[in-house]
Amino acid sequence: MSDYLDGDLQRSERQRAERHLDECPECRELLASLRGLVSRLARLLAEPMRPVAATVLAGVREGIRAGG
Amino acid sequence: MTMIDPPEAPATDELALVRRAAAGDIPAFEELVIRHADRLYAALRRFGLDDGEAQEVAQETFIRAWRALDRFEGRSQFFTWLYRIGFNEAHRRLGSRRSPAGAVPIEENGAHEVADHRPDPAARAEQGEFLAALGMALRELPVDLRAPVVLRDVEGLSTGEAASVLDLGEAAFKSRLHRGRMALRGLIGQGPWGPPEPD
Repeated sequence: MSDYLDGDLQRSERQRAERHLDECPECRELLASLRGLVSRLARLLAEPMRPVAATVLAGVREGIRAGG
Repeated sequence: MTMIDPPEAPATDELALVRRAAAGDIPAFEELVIRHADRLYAALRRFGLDDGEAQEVAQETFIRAWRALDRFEGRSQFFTWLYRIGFNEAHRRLGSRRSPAGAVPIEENGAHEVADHRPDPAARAEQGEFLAALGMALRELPVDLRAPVVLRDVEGLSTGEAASVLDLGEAAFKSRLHRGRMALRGLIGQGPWGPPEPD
């Protein structure tokens, strides 16, 4: 199901999956549910996090100086 | 809150910086750190490290990368290579834990500040709560299933890139990704979530 959702199936496999989905309400429901899940997971990327670049850079400078 | 965020830099520009850094140009490497540190830190937090650990691992990742730059062949994107170093270390740390310690909401650093331009405040609040719950549930997943979901579905890497970061074949990666999604679906409940959002 995830392969279908991600577009990772070959054409013949995709067609077979689509035929099955036409006939199987449970799988249609699962697909819709997974599609909703994946769509919302992608939104987590936009969630703000503490900016750390300046602090990390200072530590990296120190590490490079110490160890080369 | 503004993050330093140029991770989508042109690949050629990026490769030029990597080459200069590999030749010992420290300012070029520092530019790469500035470009990628926030994103790497955020990915490590989503994977389950706490604030201090994620910062420590991000820092360690760049220092290791600096020392190994001559081995970066440019076949993958520089950031994918960083992910690989960082996620290996994070995986090692998380794998030694018995439970998802520090399972705090991903959004603890200010989800309430997320810009959301939908007009309905109730829908916005509901969406914020759902994302908070989703972030929590993600951290409840076993580490081996969490990594594929974070890399593919949150970070947006391709299947090939994400499999490469985790040093898995694509078939094994896909299997874990699907199991991770199914487990997450079980943790969060099955809905009603409605159709995927249009954005």
